[in-house]
Amino acid sequence: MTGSAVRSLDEQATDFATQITHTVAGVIDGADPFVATVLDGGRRRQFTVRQSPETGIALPMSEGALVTLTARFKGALDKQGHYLRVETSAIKVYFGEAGGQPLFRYEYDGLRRSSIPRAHLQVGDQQDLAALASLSGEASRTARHRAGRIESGMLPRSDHLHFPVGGDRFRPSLEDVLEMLVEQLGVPALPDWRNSVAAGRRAWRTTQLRAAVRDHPQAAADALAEAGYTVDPPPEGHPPPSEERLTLL
Amino acid sequence: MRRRSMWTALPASKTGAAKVRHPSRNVPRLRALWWQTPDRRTGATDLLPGRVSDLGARLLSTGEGIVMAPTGILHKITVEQAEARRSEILREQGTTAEDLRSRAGRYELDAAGVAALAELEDLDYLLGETVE
Repeated sequence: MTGSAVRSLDEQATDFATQITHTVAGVIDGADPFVATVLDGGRRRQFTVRQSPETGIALPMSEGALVTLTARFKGALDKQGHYLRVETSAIKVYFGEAGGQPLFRYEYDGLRRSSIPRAHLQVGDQQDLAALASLSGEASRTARHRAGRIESGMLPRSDHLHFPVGGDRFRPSLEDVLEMLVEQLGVPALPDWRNSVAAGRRAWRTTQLRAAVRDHPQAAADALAEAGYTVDPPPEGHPPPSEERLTLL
Repeated sequence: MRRRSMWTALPASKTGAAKVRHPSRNVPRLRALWWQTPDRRTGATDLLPGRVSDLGARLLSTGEGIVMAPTGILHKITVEQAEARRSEILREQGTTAEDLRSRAGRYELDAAGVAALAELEDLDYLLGETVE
């Protein structure tokens, strides 16, 4: 590692919790801090980070309704003990209290070795999502637009909600959808379909990785330098990162 | 226990057009402040060691003015405390971990049950008893 001392699990887990806290507190008025938990003593490397309170963050909507957000992360220091690595995460949204079936949830399980995607979105009942769409009130331009259409007679539908899936560079690929169709819906496939999907996905992700490097060359250069490469920036210095690519939903 | 559909929770008028202000009403101002924070200016938004030293200095604009953003909380527990808490959770719920997971899979847990299972699984992870 260059340029900085190795930081402890305690420090890095706390910083991770702080970073998430800042994001949530910057959006939700009065949000409580996230809590990082580590086992004291020994040579353990695991940590967890969760929202506070334990029962979830209650978020008011229009007409007295509310949804509850829960967000939990589990991870460990990498083998070198330098960086945190999130191994599983679950971000869930419930209607009302955080009980029963979530409206929708984003989950990641980097330890999974099954046909279920390691990173995936699961949606609950369509009717619940449609009702949710009708409760957005007028707090945003999208919500006002939808409310206006509902007032003019359009029935709320679940497909009025558009779920984010990774932005410009990290969005799912055609290969991902094909694999889901085969694995989860039983669509007949050729004997060698797995190799085709894997090859296509590898090409896609490599292309996207190169594009992501161009979005933030300095971050890429820093990562390569930490991996032992010698990286010289151009004489004019690192080009500025693409704020649009890095920040837009 | 299957929770009732959201449709039954809607008022009779149900247009979704009530004039309720969302608590994130200060978003434009918050966004402007966020752009001024140090790691935003440099684009260093990842978790690389040494890049997050100023995390504690972020400002927030709230209904009560500009305040320091809260920071994350570190909770350190011993193995003994973790094991005791695990037993306490199951005692409070009056069941076993397997039963809690089974009911969660059927969406039968209420908010307290969901929170209890989540805490239990965090403890299992920390103790090295990850569950598939």
